[in-house]
Amino acid sequence: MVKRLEAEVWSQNNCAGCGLCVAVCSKQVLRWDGEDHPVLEKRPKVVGFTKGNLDSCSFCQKFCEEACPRLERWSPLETQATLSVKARGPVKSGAPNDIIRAILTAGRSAGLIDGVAMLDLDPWTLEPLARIATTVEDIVDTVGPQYLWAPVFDVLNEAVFRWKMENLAVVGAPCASEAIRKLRDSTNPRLKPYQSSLRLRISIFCTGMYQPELVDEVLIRRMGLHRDQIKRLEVSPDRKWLHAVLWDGSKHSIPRQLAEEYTRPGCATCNDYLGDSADLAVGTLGAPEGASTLIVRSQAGDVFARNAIQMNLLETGPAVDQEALTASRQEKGRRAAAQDLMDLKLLMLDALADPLQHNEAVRQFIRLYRTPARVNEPDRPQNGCTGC
Amino acid sequence: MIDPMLFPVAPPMIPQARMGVIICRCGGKMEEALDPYLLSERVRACSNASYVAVEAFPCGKGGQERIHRAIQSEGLDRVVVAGCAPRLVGALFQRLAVRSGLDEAYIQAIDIRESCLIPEPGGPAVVADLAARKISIEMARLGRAKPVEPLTYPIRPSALVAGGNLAGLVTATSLANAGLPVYLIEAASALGQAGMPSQSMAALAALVEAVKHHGRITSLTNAHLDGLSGRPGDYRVQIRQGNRVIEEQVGAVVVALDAHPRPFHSNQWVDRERVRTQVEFAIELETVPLVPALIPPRHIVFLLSFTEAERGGSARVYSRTALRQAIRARELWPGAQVTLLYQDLELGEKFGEGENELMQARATGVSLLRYQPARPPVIREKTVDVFDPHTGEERALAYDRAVVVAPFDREPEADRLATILGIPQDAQGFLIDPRRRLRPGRVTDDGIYLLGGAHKPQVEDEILLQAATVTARVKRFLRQGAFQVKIATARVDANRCTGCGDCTRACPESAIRLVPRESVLSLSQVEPTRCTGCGACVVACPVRAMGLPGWEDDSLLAQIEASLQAPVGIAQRQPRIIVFGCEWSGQAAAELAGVRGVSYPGNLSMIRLNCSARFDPYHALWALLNGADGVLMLACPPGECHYGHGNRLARNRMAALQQQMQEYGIDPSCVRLEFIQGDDIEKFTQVVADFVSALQKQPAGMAL
Repeated sequence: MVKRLEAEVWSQNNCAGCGLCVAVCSKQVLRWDGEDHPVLEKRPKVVGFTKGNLDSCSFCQKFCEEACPRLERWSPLETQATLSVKARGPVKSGAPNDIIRAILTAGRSAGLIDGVAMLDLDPWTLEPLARIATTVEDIVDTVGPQYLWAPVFDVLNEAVFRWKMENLAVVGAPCASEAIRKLRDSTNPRLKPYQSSLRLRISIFCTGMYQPELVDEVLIRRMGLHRDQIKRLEVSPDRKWLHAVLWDGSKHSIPRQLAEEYTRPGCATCNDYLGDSADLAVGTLGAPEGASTLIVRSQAGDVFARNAIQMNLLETGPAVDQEALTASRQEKGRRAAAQDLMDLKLLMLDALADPLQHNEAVRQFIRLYRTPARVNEPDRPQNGCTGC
Repeated sequence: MIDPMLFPVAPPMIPQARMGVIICRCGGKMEEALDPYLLSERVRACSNASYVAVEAFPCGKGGQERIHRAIQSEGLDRVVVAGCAPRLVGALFQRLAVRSGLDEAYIQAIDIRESCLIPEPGGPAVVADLAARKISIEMARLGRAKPVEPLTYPIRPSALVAGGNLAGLVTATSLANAGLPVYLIEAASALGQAGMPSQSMAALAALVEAVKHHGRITSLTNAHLDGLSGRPGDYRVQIRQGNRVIEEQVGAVVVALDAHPRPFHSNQWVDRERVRTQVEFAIELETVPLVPALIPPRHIVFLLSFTEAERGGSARVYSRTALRQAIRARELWPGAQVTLLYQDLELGEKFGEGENELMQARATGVSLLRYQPARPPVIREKTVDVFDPHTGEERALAYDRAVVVAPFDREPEADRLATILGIPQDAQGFLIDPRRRLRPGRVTDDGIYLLGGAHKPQVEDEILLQAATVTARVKRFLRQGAFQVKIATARVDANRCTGCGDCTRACPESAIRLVPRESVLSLSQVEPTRCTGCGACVVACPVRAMGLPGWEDDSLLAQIEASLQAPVGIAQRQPRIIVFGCEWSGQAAAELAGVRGVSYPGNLSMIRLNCSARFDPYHALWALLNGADGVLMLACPPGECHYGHGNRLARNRMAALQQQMQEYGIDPSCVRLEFIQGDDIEKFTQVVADFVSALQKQPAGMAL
């Protein structure tokens, strides 16, 4: 039932927007409807003699709960290797999306995967969307994730059931990898098809995905560009700028800080910047000029990285600046604080419903706010107070 | 590494703060219900006040002098004056504080009169307890109060005028004549192009020439505003001219766009030689004195009929333009018969220019005919057919010229400026001045100004009047040299900010921007000159990295604590209610109820908020957890928030909280938000009574 998601994720504005709950919903009653989170649909249905709104959600085996990455706190997977890499072959580049394309191309050529579900941009409308790429040509044609939000698992059912893909790679934000991790932990046999076909998780480094309205608001209204003038959007390698590349070759740039104002609300409490749950995480942080950082976190990731290097599509470079990566790990604390506060609200609500939780909630509140007078004002005279 | 567990909310309380409490006898008025000496005993017993005194008239000269001496001799840091009508006497005590060497923020007058009005005859003991609780809430607040540091900013004496039509040209010229450097940008390829052709095109052309050759005006055509940063008095503007980007620094920005007449449009064929829009006819009238028409028109019909969509604030412009043109046509072609068909003539202000024009039109022999809305005039091939309600007959007016209205659109530039400057737009896309009622002509407190057709289509003399007022304001602002801000503005704790951007979205004034810093996360930065101190960001921040001095979490929590501390005598039987009252509505209404002696039920504790935007659901939950039976938020009615839309934010937050409580199986009726006006005592008592009776039916914290 979606109840837990409603109470703990959606109402807290904490939805990651990965879309896995929508994909795995057994009753197909979750859908996207312009909100920051999926909405539950109640369908009119004839049950016996009545024609009421049937809450089919209440019959389910909680697939959405077993897929939602935001119901869990994730500890990072152990890092196996950290490399600085550049794409070789036809595209010589150090941009993260080119690295991802190189790894996927190599993996597809070697038959390690039979398809990829990835975040992409529609070349005509610049709408972010999820796309399935099945051939090497498809993979080369994509532009890859551009930090514009779309639910990446939108195409999961198509890939798993329609195209019967058995070795599927997913490219998305770190939350998508967390979602797969959560899915794999499930013991529900009905989720088996997904578990067995999702083989590889690739994440980009991410501090927040932007709402697609960014394109309308900033590029079209503010910079006076038209959609059909824009060839593609890209994030500069140092992530300082968001570039709109026009068909005439010129480039318009927006500072990333401006784009950050359009960050999804659900990203405010996420502290997974480096794809901590992915097999492979790619980003520019810590990498030397003109290269990207590739973090390998699992056996599967290792196989894919080696494969790409063997096929000469990837080359490794000088060492990665570990300090930058460590520094970013330290910044986790700030967003962990946000998670604590969010949990506190749930705890307080719990305590109101269940008096047994009362002391815990009060303790936690005092710890987080460090403030109530009750603990801080020992000099209050207790003796003469007649009011009590 | 930062410890994520610690939320170092400002130090709890200044340990050595010496509190003084002055209890006012209000000249014996209150003594029927309240014994001030009993109250002073209670205060001494229940709080850590260092000095408690009863004073007959603290607002009188003698009383003021005694308080002054007490502050000096007792070394008091904070003073609570418990008496009446803080709004009336607040300023008086603030002056006293400054005279005695305290900051204004360290003295507070509160109203305890309403405590005397509890419905049950609880006797003086209960009344004293209630009053003592009010005093201890205020002491909890004062103990954490911080003075507001005034900020001084220099002002750069130069201005940017966006829009090179009549409004912009006049403003730019008069600012430049006053000795200020002016940048004039126009999106079109030449100055003085758009808008309704004025009655004197020659004068406009002369104005354009004057602007072009003025030493202090830099005029740029084909130029757009591309970006704006900084603060009032010191903006950094990026102007894009083709592929060139020019950066300038100016003290003020004047948006002087004009409205664009739409080209002629008709669903049926008409003879465009004879049917013209007002704009086209204006050009004809202008050219006639130069090149007289071969065949002067003999029958001229003005049609003031337009759809509701075309009306959109322009009806006045249509009417007045038609009147002027009718008068002018009679002057030029004395033999012509001029008819004006109207349904409603909007003439603007009473006894203004518009009415003079109407009288003049009548005098010059323009015939005015009012048609019925159900039967608007129709242009046929030979005649204009209209139903005359006076005779009850259809009339066919022959015409050589039929002049129809030309609806106005915003300049396309308006959209861009609205986004860059953060100005809202109406349905037609014209810019809305959100504070038009309070301070016309200003968008922000100062620094950005709107005028002319930027708001709505306007006629010439209105534009000129506006240009004059705005010019005067801009001059006054820019000549100050420096200006001071002394309101509490939001502060960011850099150690906790996660750069998520929630505050930038919550801020109604767009005063918060994200700036880069070394590591991966950005940092929010508040522009103090734009911040109005509503506190919306403080609540929106998921890590409590924002703070608003004077309305900090610790102060509000301490007040909640103080209000729940002592269960008060007979009032124990009543539900305990925490009321968060916006200073401008809830708090004001409660004070007024006290002053007027209106009684209401319940065991209320008022906690003052600067704006309902500062309402934090965490505080409500905390209050409920600590034994409050209900939490009531009183906010200004929709559209009347002093800070823009704090009440809307509060309503959404309250709705979300209620929804969540419902999901957790808690009865959501123990939290409530009500809209109330500051002087609406009846509604205040009504709301409180309703809430109390609802709570008595269903005690809080009870699972459904």
